[in-house]
Amino acid sequence: MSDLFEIEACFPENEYWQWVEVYEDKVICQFDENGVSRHFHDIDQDNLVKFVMIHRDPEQVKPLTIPITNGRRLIHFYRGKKLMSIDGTEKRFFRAPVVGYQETKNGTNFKVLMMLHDNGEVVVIDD
Amino acid sequence: MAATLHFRVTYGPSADPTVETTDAADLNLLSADLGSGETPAAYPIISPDEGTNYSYERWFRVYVVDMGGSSRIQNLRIYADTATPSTGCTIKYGDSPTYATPVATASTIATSNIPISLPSENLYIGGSAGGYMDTNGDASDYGVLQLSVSSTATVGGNAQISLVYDEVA
Repeated sequence: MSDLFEIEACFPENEYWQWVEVYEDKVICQFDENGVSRHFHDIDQDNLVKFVMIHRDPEQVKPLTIPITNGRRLIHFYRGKKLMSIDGTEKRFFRAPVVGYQETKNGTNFKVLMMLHDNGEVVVIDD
Repeated sequence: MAATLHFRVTYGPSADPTVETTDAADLNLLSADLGSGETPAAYPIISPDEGTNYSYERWFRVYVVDMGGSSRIQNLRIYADTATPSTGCTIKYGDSPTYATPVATASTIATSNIPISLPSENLYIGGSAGGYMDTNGDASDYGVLQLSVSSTATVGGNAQISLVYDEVA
């Protein structure tokens, strides 16, 4: 297996986190050297050994490994929020990656989701 | 790169609606069926002596300007920081897959108080839950807002409307 710490990840402007796919024979970062993102559907979940979220400041923020064993299905998306006051005087935008997994236990579907903030904070969210 | 989404207002008769082509300047709720950029001071809703008066419905859609390299936009949710921007005034919300001429009587679409915390999907895409947008130029169903004004209403007030969505890389 490739060593996660040998990779050199490229972070586009305004992106603080990215995923790293670890397979038996290779490691693939979410963003290429041109800042182009892989798609979630590009991830080969059947052969994934490890799925890690890394921050652009690895000295301050430790990598976050998503446990994808035991048939768990990976979740990753960006949660966007566009806010505007009715009178239009205030407009704001927020976007952060959400990562986690879902699994079925005894016929019940469970989901674990974490929102990853720019400053490295990780917050478990309901949905 | 993040996807770019607009709130785009539609107004006018259903036979010949006007569809704004830029992000809404505001979502003001008025006594006239007009586009964004008009003020409640110019088009106030008068507090009734009894019963309830209503603003014209404000119809809008979420429009994809640029997918930003992502593959899907989905799970659209609309809520506000308050459903009562001032005493005696309530913001109602609903959604519809098809446009209808805005009314200033009790809406048959915007029938519920706007949620004040993150709801489950409440602005559908393609007429039902679970839909998604994946191409520049795609739009959601219509969100409809209306202000109900009672006899106890006080002047002024504002609210923050939030759109929360999921963007899949």
